[in-house]
Parts: sequence; structure tokens; C-alpha cells
Amino acid sequence: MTEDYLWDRSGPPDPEIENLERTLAAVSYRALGRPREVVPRPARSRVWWAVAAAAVLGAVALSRLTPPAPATAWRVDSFAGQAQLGGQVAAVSMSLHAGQLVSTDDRSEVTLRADEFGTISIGPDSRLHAASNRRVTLERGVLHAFIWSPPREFVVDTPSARAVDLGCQYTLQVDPSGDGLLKVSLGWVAFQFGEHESFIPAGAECVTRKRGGPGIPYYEDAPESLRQSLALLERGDDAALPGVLAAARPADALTLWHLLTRAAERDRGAVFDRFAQLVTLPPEVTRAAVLRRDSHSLDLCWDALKLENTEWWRGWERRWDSR
Amino acid sequence: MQAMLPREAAEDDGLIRAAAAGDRAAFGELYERYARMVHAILLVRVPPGDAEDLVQDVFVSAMRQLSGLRTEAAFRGWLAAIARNRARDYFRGAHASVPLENAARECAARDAGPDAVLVLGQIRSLPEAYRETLLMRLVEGMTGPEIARQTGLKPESVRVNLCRGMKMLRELLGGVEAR
Repeated sequence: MTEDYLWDRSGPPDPEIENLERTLAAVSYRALGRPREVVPRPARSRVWWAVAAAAVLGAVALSRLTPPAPATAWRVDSFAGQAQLGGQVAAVSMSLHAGQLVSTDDRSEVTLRADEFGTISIGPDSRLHAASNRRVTLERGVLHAFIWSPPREFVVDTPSARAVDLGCQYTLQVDPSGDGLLKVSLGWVAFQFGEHESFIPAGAECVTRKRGGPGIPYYEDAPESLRQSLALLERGDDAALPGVLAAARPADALTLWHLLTRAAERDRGAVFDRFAQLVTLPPEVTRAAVLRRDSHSLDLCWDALKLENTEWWRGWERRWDSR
Repeated sequence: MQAMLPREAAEDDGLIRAAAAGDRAAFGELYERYARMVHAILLVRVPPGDAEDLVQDVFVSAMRQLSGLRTEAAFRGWLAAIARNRARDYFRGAHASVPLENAARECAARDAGPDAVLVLGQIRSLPEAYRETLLMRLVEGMTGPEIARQTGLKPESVRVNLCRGMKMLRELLGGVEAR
């Protein structure tokens, strides 16, 4: 067995190293968000069964020693009414612990602050769980976030999508069914669920559905006819696409850019043709390359939107690379 | 100091200079490039869930001090040093408990098999020189050349650390099988 695979993954794979990579993947730096290669799991050798058995015994023993959940960096900054943290009435400076629930009734609100992250205000009739400093889950209700930590460090999970802060201010609403609406007032938010991903700049909003993930973003001032047609399109009415394309203004190329990868395959040509009318594309972008979702061409299309300060974070996203 | 391909070195140095001058986007790019290395260094010392959170702390600390960095070349070792110091601080605070206990909980929370807890524990029991490089390779998926580039270690040193560390890990896991 050579050591080439261990060194740079050249040469024949070493099954034992591959096994270790799979085993340890769960503790890797997940927040990078890069999809991992899916490799069929081979039958385990005896050593792995032995490892698993020993670890189960160890984990059971260790779990008895597990300390209480730690406090997160989030503390109550202000509140109104009878907001609750972890089953207790909220009070200023009270710490939010990992796993705790923040809840408000129809007459209460609470604002949490973490000096290194930002502030999040939770509106009436809301339920929010804290997972850690940088991850909370909004089960339902309204959350207004103003985040100043480095982009991508703070995420809000909802039943239908994950909102990844890219340095911004936004409002997220989740209704009792788990559907939601994200409105961005400053900066950017990436809205993700599985392979679906939407990038929402300031002034735009995006709906999300529990089993469909994030929808197509649109500017709040987009023509009503575009919004109505888009809503129909997202409910599966492909006949609404011409209405979206016809109503799109140059700014609405943002919406069309998302449709370049999300519209039904047979419709993408029409989307591209309209997109090319609304923006100035560099000569190296070809219709054929965009229709086959060539990542470089899609990047160039994005650049043609002339939205600023996105180059660096698109470098790590680019989910369309893996499709 | 070597092992840096000229183009990548130049890119990184440009980002470091820009970040030191206050360019937040450049700092974000550095974050993307170096987060796995920082996470691996933390993971040697603290439980997985906390390591993930501490990555943020390390970069916040780095961002605050970056303007004082005298040369771009020092950035890699300096960032690694901040990560090690942050891990040490972690145990000075309210976390003076045995990390593997938390690791068991964290792995369960991530739907990871119990294997991860044990293997992580075995890697942590290896000599110090091998732990970080093995975690960068096996957990974060970095290649040897990437590890050398980001840590500033010589490629030969990284190769030796990986090979010797892997040999010892195989022996430890073989011991588990024998029992």
C-alpha cells in the first residue's frame, strides 16, 4: 500500500483511511457548506464493529457525566410583556442556554443581544430555540435580526429553509404551517434548503415552503404582475412563466437569474433569452453553456447583475457546480 | 517557510494585506480559506460543537489584531497560534471538564455514529506533532500539500507527520480489534 492516498488522494484509495474519513465526517467543519462526495458505504470490517461496540459502551458511560448545556453568548437586552426563556419569565441580562426555548405570547416581545454577533428581536407569538452562539431555530413567529459578525457566521433555521447571514439586517416570518417569508433590508442573506438556494439582497424578499424550500427572490417593488405570475409559477403553474418574463424590469434580472437554474429544463432557453435582454452579458457567455448550467457561465451571468460585494461569498457557495 | 505555490501565496498575501487595511470581503475570503485548518487545531483540544463555535472567536480575534501583523508570511503561524491560545482559554473558563464527554454528546447531536467519538479520542492520544495534521487530513479533508501551505510547515514534515501518525492510529485501532 503506497502512501499517496494519505498524502494527496492520488493513487489507489486506502480502504481504512476512507473508513476513517467517513467516520470522522460528522465532526468536520460543517459550516463550510460544501457538499461532500456521497460514497456508498461498504460492509464494515471486524475492526469497525469492534470500534462501534466499544464506543457505544463508552458513550453510554460518558453520557452520565455530561454537564448541563452551556450558556450561549445571547442575553436578554430588553423585553415587553411575558416573554419566557427556558420556562422562566425573561429578565434583562438573562443568558440563553443551548437548547433553551424562547417564547412570546401575542402581547410580548424580547430582544437578545450577543456582542460579537448582533441583536435578534423576537416578535409576538413566536418560538425560537437556541442551538449555539451561531445557530438558532425559529419554529414560528417573527424574528428581526441585525447581525454584525463576519458573514456566514450566524444562521437561523426554520422548518422550511436555513437563512445564512451574509452581513445584514433582515426579518424572517414563519407561519404555523412552517412556511416563511424573508425580507432583507440591509446586506445579503442566503436562503438554503437541500440543493435549493436563493440569494436575497437588500430590498428583496423570498418565500419558503415547508416541503419546497426557498423560492425565487424578487424585489419588493417588482411589478405586481411579476409577483403574481411568480407565485403561480412557484405553485407549479409553468404557464405563468411568460408573465414573469414579460413583466421583468432590468432589476428583476435577479429573479430571472435564479430561474436560469430552477425553471423547468424546457423553459430555460426562454428565461435566458429574456435575461440577456435585461443585462449586458460578456461575449463569452453562450446560451448553450448557460442551459447546461456551466458554473463559469452562470458566474458571468451573476456578475452581469452588477450587484456589489458578492464575489467572495459566491466563491464558496456555487451549489450549481455540483448539479 | 515554504510549500506555498507562487500563485496561491500571492493571492493569500494580497488578501491578508487587504484585510489588514480593513477590507471585510478580503477577510471573509481568508476565513473561507483557513477555517478548516483553524477548526482542526481547535478540535484537537475542545469538543466538536464548541470547536465549531470557537472558529468564529478565533477569526474575530484575528480580525481585531490583523492590522498589527508585520508581514503577510506570518499570518498562517499567527492564526494557528490564536487558535491554540483560544483552545487553552476555553479550559480556563467554565469548561474545565473532560472534552470527550462533550464529544459524545456532540456526536450524538450530529447523528454521528459512536465510532467518531472513539476515533477522535484515539487521535487525541497520539503525540502532539501528529494530531493536528491527522485531523486536518482525516476530518477536514485537506491534502498534504494544502496542510503544508496553510500551516507553513515544510511538505516533508507534513508527510512525516501524516505517515507516522497514521501508522500509530492503525496500531491503536488494531488494538481495539484485538481486545
